[in-house]
Amino acid sequence: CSVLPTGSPSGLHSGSPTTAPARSTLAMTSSFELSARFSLVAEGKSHSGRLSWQHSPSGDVWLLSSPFGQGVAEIVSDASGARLTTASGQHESDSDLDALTRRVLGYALPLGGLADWLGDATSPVLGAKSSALDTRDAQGRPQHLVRDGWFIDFSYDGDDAQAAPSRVFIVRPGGPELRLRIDEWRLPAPAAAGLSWVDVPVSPVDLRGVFAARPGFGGA
Amino acid sequence: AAIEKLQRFLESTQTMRADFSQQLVSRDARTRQQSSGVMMLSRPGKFRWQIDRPYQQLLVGDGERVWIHDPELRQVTVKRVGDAMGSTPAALLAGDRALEKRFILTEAGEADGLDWLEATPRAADSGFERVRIGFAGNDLRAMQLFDNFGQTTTLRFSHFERNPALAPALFRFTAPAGTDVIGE
Repeated sequence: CSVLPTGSPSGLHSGSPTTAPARSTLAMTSSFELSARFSLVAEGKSHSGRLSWQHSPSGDVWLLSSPFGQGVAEIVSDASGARLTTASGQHESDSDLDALTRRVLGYALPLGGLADWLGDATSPVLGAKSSALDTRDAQGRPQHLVRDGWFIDFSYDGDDAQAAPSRVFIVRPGGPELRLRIDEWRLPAPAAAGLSWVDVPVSPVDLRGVFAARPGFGGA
Repeated sequence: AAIEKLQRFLESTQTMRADFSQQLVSRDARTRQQSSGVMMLSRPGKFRWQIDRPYQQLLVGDGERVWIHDPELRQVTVKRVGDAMGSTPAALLAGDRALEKRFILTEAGEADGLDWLEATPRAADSGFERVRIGFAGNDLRAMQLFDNFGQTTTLRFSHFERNPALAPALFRFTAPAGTDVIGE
């Protein structure tokens, strides 16, 4: 069940791993895919493995795999809710991604907000929800954000002021911590390639509008 | 032919060392992730799976627990073997010899110069649909895992050493100073 919009972005750079794209490029697109290594620590337990995440205006597909690369669970989240399928074929569903993760894991995990925060990280101007605690690094890139009680720390490969994050550490003080090391970003081909997508009005400055415009997300 | 080679391999291999290259192909075959490193096994159940490129990650199993150290995530996680590694290439090769108890084995003929067999798990929740194992002569050369989400992991082994002397410390994990170890 591919969630990507019909006429799915076959223009995605297939397989050509891009080093982290420029934040301005990421800001211009309403869709991305990324492959990352993750570790999730909560209540003294740890889970680690690989994550592949496809984000588009119509929803998200998260595929969680073991460190060896075998799929463990897939979560599909769109306007109609969020659905989880495990490797052995069990299904769980709920009204949205955050409700589903809370029920499955037993604690809240802000997956729904992650696309927003990446959006904050990629917009040259920190989003409207920026808090006084938000900081930027020496290159002017978002470094530490505080959103809905979660501390979000970004780090980057190299000094390119325009680089998108390559690491995202999210922690609720005293609570769960999710760490992502993004190994690969994939972006759709530039709009000129005639992607038949719903054209989400994107003003280069205010990416937040793009990310918040997604149905089914807490968003702005 | 391949099934017999697997039986002989399991019976005659107490320890093993090989370089591996791994390719993970996504369901829509649009993305391929390559990695490579060194793997070591010591029966029963001990393994060391060291990814060197394109990033560093170390997985060590002592038969009871599995440590995963990812320097870039600045973390070491440890889990019981049962749920974490039950169906991984490492556990498969280092696991107990009676593979037939857990898998239905069928010959899968010759391809790319290797003699292949196919192993289909008997238990539903084994974490993958099937595995193909390829031999060159009596040496294990390749494994292909097809998971339940359409992903394929292909492993190719080179510089294969059968029954090398491997120091026990290789199958224990000591966290680098100042790294927190999380988990049971």
